[in-house]
Amino acid sequence: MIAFAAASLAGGSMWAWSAHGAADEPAETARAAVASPMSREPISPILPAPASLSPAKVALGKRLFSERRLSADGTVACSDCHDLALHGGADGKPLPTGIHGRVGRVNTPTIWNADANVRQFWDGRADSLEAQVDGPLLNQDEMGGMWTAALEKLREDPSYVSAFGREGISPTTVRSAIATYERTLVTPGSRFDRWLAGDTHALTSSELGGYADFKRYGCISCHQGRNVGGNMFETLGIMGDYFADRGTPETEADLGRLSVTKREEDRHRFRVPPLRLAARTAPYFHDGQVPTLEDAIRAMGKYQLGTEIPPPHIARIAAFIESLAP
Amino acid sequence: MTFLRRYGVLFIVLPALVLLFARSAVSDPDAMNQTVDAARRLRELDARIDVLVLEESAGLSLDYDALTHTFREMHRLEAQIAASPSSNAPAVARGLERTTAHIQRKERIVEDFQSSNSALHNSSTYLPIVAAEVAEGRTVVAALLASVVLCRSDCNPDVLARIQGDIAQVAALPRDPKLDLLIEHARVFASLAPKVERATRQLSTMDAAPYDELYVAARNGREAAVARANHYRIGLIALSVALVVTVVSMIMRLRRALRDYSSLNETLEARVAERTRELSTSREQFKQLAEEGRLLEAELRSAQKLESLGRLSAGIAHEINTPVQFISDNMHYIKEAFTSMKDLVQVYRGATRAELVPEQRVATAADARIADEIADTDYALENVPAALEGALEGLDRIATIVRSLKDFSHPDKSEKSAVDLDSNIRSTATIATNEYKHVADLTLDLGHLGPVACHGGEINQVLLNLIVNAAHAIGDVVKKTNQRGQIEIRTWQEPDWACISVRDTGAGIPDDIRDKIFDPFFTTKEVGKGTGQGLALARRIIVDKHGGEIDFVSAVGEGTTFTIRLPCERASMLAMVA
Repeated sequence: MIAFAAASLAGGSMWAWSAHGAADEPAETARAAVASPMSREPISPILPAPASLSPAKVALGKRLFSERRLSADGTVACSDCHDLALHGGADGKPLPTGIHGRVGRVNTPTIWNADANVRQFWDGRADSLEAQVDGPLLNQDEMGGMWTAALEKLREDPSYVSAFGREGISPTTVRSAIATYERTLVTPGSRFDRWLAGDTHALTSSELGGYADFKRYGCISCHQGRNVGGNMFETLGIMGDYFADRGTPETEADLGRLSVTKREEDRHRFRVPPLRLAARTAPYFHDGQVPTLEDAIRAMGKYQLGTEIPPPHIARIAAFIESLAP
Repeated sequence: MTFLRRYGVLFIVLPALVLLFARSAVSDPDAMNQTVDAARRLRELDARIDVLVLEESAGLSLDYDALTHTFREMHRLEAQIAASPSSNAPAVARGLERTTAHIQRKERIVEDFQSSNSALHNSSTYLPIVAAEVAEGRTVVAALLASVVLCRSDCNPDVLARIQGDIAQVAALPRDPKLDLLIEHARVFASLAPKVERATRQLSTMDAAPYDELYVAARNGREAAVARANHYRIGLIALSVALVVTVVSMIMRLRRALRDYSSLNETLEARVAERTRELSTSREQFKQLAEEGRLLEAELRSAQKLESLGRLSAGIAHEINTPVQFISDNMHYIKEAFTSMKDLVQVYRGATRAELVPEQRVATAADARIADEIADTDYALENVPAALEGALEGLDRIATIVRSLKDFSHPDKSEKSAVDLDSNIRSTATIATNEYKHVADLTLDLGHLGPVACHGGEINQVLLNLIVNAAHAIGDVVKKTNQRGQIEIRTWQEPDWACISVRDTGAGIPDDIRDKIFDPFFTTKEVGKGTGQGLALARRIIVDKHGGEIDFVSAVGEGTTFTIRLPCERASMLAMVA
């Protein structure tokens, strides 16, 4: 066991050394050095939406996703903050704007590929897409809705009554329809996924270099899996005090998972953001205080890895992150 | 009721059959099997989590998706069991509850493990990189690295203490940003390594008892259901066998009946012909009987009349005989008186002849006086008129009786005629005098009725029967008490009825025979005294023939009152009177 652990540590070290050394070498060499396509990578491709989802239910969920009548004053829909086209399934703002211009507490996460996440929300308080629906819908700073009122409005609309059909209009059926729609919001076919599938020319050398850096700096320890993150929780500020440096007082939103689990070790612990659409979801972090992707990479290096990532590497990593989205 | 009696057994057998059939199938066997499978699969997945965590911890696995998916699959199975009807069983529900708690705890541990493990992995990666860049104090740094490597394999408190010691030694080196970074990573490592160690240890020591409990509960539930179903199946088979036996016996019975039926069919025609013949004969006989019945009734009616007349004739004869006797006595006396008178008249004639000498006249006067004495003229003069009176009275009585007899038995016409019922009652009472006079006094309260359209002769018959019965009833009492009774006959008019009542102070009619007294041949009288036709006939005459009513009120020991109501046909009556 000792020998095995030592070998693994040493292997990791050797790999790290070599990657570090190869950082500035030509693309072809980097390609060979970083990883070979088809080999086992910590990131796996996004899968297409399951064919088993009912088209009618998906259509209903899509309609509900843009349904402003679900909010208290009929002004805000899910789609207002989860802008699928322009902002990669988020809203492009540090913090979301809800009814009556109220400001939400945390940065809007993308809705794309959300089903691949282990739990929903920054603090992971919902364990499914269905459970997530209640969050923004009932939040007084977001949609400010109430189930009874929202359902009442839906029931007034005969087209909803017929669309919900025999199951009727209830919190359960609304949640189910929206979650079903959200399961179709996947982004397969990105250039990175094509590279994973064996297309060696799918990525530029800069992007490949970025991937190598991504792994070498240790970003990959947390940002891994299908969604390049989203499948675990991590403390923000392992190697530095992010909140002290931010210069604004800590808010309840900064507590992170602690507010759900009430455990001290979960203080400042957040769900690791998935990076699939990260290139389009600026600004960053739970507080939306990091304006650009480069800033976010730099901050991550500083507070999570204890290293200052040089700007060329940051640029390459940003390029790599760009290749994760279709 | 007949329906229930005939098909009631079906209401028991059919539901029993349906019930047994429904129960003999394991209710939703798929759901039970699925629960058993899910419980087994949960246990497998739980073990898989442990394996995945070990792989992660050893750096063999590169991402956490497998853990995420495994937990998600476990949640899916939990939901499946919870939604399954098999979780209604308390044991399964309890097992599921414990399993859910177990999985939640495991998820929490794995979540902590992931956070610590990722950071630990990075720090342990960075440590040698940073160490390589450190220029000063390489031996101290190497010692720290060695301690870290040791901790990766076995992170016990001693090793951790050693790392802290090594960190302190490195910290004692001259300040250098690289060294600071090294120290920071080493501190992160030292804080996270025990957490990873603890998480893996916790996972390895978590027992799988909840899964076993759930699995066993689900399996037992399934087996119990199968056993239960088997019991019902045995019941079903038993009932089915019973039903088959019943059906077979019914079929056999049916076949026998069919055989009988076909043989019956063959003889049926002959039998029908025979029956038809019998029936026509019967009809003839019936007609004959009816005719005989009609004749018999007519005969009976006249026989009854004759019977009562016959029975009365002795009394009537006596009634006539009495006046006849004293008429005869009176006539004899009058005849003797007249003879004496004739002798006296001759003496008187001789005495008053002219040729007689005075002496002769004196003698003759004496003779006349003697003759007068002999003739007892005074007595005769006094009594003959009375005797004549008496004889005339007797003759009157006889005339009355004879008239009554004539009235009573005047021939019945086929049509009703206006009848003075009062006189009919008087006649009948007269005829019946000898029947009651020894035991009762008769009171008549008549004169309240006008003429009534009826068959007078038949009404007389009824009245006679009632009076005779009354006399007999009183006679029974008189025999015991020696006290004379009362018979009262009353008439009165009601709006549509002419009413007659015959009341007696006789023995009364006992309760138990009140229903029968109008039945033909019912009699309480000794053999030979009554035919049992009297009241039956009375009813036939009053009710059937006149459309009237005959009724009675009776109290044992007090007497009986019979009431007859005859309808007054006013219009026709008026016509008749006019």
